[in-house]
Amino acid sequence: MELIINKNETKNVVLLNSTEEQIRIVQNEESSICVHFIDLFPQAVQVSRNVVVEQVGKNSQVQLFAMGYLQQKQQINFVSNVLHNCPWGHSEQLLKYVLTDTASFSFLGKVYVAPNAQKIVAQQTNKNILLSPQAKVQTQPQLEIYADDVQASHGASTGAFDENMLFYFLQRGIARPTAEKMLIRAFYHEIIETLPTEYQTEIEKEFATNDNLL
Amino acid sequence: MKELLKITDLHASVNGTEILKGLNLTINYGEVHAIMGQNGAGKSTLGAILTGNPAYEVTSGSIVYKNQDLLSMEPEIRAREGLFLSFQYPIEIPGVSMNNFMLAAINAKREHLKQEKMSASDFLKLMKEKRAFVELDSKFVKRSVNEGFSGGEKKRNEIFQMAMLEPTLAILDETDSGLDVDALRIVANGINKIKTDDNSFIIVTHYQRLLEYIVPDFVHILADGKIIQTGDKTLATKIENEGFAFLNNGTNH
Ligand SMILES: Nc1ncnc2c1ncn2[C@@H]1O[C@H](COP(=O)(O)OP(=O)(O)OP(=O)(O)O)[C@@H](O)[C@H]1O
Ligand SMILES: [Mg+2]
Repeated sequence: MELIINKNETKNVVLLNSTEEQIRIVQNEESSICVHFIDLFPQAVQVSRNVVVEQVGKNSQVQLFAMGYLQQKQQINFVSNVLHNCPWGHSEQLLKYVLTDTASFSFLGKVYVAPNAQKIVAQQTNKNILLSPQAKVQTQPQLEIYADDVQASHGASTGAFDENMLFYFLQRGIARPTAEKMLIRAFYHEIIETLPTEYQTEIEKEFATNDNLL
Repeated sequence: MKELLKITDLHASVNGTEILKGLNLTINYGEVHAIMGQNGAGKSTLGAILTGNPAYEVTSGSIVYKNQDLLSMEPEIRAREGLFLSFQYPIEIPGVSMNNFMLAAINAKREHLKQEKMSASDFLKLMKEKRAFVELDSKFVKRSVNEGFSGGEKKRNEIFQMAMLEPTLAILDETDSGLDVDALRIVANGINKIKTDDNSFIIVTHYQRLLEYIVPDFVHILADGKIIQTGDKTLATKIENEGFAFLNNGTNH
């Protein structure tokens, strides 16, 4: 899949349970692209996703959001490669995955800033929740920065829900599956609120009806 | 006198250290029991054991609650059966609103009691009514559970939740700590409104202040993993005035 974003163009793409493995985005001057990867109820067992974003014009913005719930043997290997070749570029990446059973998720987040690409702001965050001790996560940021006036940040965290927090729910009579479901919704919230409304509604519906999954 | 709770020879430990060492306590319906004791005596441990906190382990002894074996009940079932803990340190739950949290709690209890789910309008009415009990502003119920609440607001929120859930046995673990004078009065009045002949309270406190509003039927001193002394409300006054020193010079045991 290749997306060419024209000069001054703004584009939103939502990919639901996509099995597309190669995604290439080319951004011309003053363009803006927001891509959501929603892997909430994937059918595919394994997806190796390789997302390349090339900013070939100055002042372009990219947002990559990904959220997912992986269970059983599901596996997503997510590689993103953001190439800031021109000045004044912005990139924001936020990936939030919940894993249970023996599911696994890996994230390799590459950010490249070319020598002449000043005033870049690049942000990368990956947060994951493990619901089972057999679930696995590997996350690795890889920053290659050749310009000096750049703000680049990355952060990652992976862990289980806090047991004290879960106990607070139990003590109020709320069973663990319901508590986890509420906490997972809260975990996804910051991504869901960036989605176009029709997708928000769809996801809310899925949450409300899909009891066995979450 | 109808018995609600009977703890017999309870031994419990946390991380392999024995904290409760043969504790006995019986509580009847309609009674208020205060528990006092030095820092680290095991007061919060008792609350954790009663509510089934998995971090704490019962090594021997028995607890009968409403004629059932409490220790074989899951923590959420204990809660739905009317056991409530006002936490000494209430937990913050970012991203989960008080509204959603309380609705889930109320409906879990109703389902357990084979009642229908509460309608949205009845729920909002109930929230409003119970907020009034503790004069809790409406803005708090839209916020995430305890997130960014001040110490006193958290305590008030615990009592609000207690009012919503109408427990049979409420354990208030230092609910009075961190409350300003006005808040203390408001919270105490709230508790008095909830108190009936059909429910009971365990009030864990270091101060007599709260007990001036809610008069306890019994005051217990927890030390060395046991209840070592039981008296009436004057015992609280004595502790307030003299500290726990009198225990050590052999006057009472
Ligand atoms: N999770 C834990 N891990 C290790 N030790 C613990 C844990 N919880 C409690 N303890 C220890 O058990 C003992 C009893 O603690 P507890 O919290 O029950 O005391 P308390 O009587 O409530 O004290 P306070 O008046 O300070 O609240 C203390 O020595 C404490 O350090
Ligand atoms: Mg304590």
